[in-house]
Amino acid sequence: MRTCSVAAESAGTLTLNGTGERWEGELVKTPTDRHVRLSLLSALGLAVIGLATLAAAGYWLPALALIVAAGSGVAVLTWRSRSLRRALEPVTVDVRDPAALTLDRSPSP
Amino acid sequence: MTDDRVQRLLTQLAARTGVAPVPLLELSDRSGRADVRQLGDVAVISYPARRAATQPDAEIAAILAHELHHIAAHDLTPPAKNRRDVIRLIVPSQLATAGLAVAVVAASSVWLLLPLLLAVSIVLGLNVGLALMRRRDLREHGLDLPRVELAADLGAARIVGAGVMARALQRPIWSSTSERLSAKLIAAARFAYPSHPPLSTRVAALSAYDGSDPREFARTF
Repeated sequence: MRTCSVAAESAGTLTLNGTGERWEGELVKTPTDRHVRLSLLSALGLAVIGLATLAAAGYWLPALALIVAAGSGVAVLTWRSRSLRRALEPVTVDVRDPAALTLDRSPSP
Repeated sequence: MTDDRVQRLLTQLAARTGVAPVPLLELSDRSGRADVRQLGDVAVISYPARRAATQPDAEIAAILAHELHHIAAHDLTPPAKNRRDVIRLIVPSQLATAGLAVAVVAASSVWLLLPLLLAVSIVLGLNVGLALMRRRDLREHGLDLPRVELAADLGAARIVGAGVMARALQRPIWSSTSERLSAKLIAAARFAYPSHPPLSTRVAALSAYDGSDPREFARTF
């Protein structure tokens, strides 16, 4: 059995432990997914600022309710991003089948 | 964390579907959903360990066959292309809608509303960009993302059977509260171009599937 690690979510590196072989590349989908997540966070953040401004201007009751809603969204997304980052520490992958490692390319230096 | 069953099923299914080399298998619980990613030339299938522990072999095979279909059908978009889409389509759309919001506020002089309108414009711009991506995908590939997922379901159904595939999709999956809420928020925010079809549509497509070419069936369903 040989073991490898998936080291990161975006600019990922696949390292076959103990062999010195290394493949570098990027994981799919992440640029768009990351941008969608970032856009949503920015929009929710701006919504919170906007509603706080409204509240300061005297429209405090509807603004407060909406601040709570938008703030919860920001909190959930941020918390999820943090938990994702924590989860993206190198993950050990056991490869039982040696054929799985017969890759049709030269390893990166 | 390892599960011999998942690795064994993956090896068997890869041989059966002609996917070589066998993708690497990552068993972890960072997400309740299985997915496939491309790392350089290496495909990595992530499978939730907690989910595997409660699933019969046939349903694990169904989900693996779905991911293998993505590899065989070359559905995995290179990250550089994804990044180009963001830079060329989404960001300019967001800048345009944000500019429009500023112009509206400037014309009406109600500056109090600027942050709120900017927030709305970011989401609207995102969806304008995604709609452009969808139009481009349909023009160049004939399939948008939800139909790509449908085709993968149908491709898997050819191997494991439509009934098993539908049961695998319908089985409740474990996921954390934050993951569920986050997924719902993101799905709501990208309304113009969702990444997956609704579960009911996937099950309906499997029920109606006649065994023909999955892409063609998904295109016309």
